[in-house]
Amino acid sequence: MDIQLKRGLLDVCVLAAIGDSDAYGYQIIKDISPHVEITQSTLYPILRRLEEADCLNVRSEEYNGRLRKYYRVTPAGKSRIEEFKQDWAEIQEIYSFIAERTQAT
Amino acid sequence: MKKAAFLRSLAQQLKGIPPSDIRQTLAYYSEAVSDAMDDGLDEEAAVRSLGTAEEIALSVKEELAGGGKLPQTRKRSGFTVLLLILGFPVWFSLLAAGAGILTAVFICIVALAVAAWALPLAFAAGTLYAAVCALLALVHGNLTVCACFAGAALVCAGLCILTYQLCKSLPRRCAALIRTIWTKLKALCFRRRNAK
Repeated sequence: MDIQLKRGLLDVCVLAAIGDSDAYGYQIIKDISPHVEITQSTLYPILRRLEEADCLNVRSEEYNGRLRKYYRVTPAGKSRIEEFKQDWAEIQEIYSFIAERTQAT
Repeated sequence: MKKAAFLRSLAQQLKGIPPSDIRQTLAYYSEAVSDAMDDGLDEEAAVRSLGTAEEIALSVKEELAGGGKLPQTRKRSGFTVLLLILGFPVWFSLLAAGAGILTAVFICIVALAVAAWALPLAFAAGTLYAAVCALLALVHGNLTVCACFAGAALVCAGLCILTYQLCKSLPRRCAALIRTIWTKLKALCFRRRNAK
């Protein structure tokens, strides 16, 4: 898949994977991996980007004698998911157009 | 590779990015290794699952560069350096003249703020003088002159209060004006540099 296209999709994927509960990095990888190829080196910049865009809140909690970061989707993050779902109809239109045109040639 | 060695290698690869970003990145990947080990992987397998330190550092630097947080290193060609050296008498003189003009403008603004205070002070002095004259005229029994000076004292007092109210906010406005001019100049310089 095109890198730029995948990047935009993965942002929303991560938000959807976290959902309504708190999630940590490794857990997010495990949730998404069966559906989309993703590694820690891909996830880390996504989490940073989403946090800077106020789509994620981060908190640290003690786990097994160490600190673990948990991510939670903010209202802005939920809006981003909704926007993507609304954009999907337009994406399908574009795909249909391309498929139609390339089938005819 | 063990976790400590991996993190040392990663820290080495991340050199050049802000220290706070290095700390955050190392903390994240340290946590990632620990989480993978909690999930049942041994230490070396957990480190291997993250990818190489080079790949991770590259993705972090690409992300930071995209967000404009990485300092952009500009390479100057030899020709540019030569032009800078040869043109020094011209560009330095222009730069110095510009700085001189800017300083003069700022000094004028500050002088205006200071000089404006002469008005309320003058009116205050006028009030005092007219009041004293009115009192003296009253003592000498000259009511007409007393009334004139009293009226003048009231007018001066009113003007003193009015000009004081105007001058009170002047230093703040002048400081804001200086800040605005400086900010616009900086924005102009950086816009030209970024446009290149």
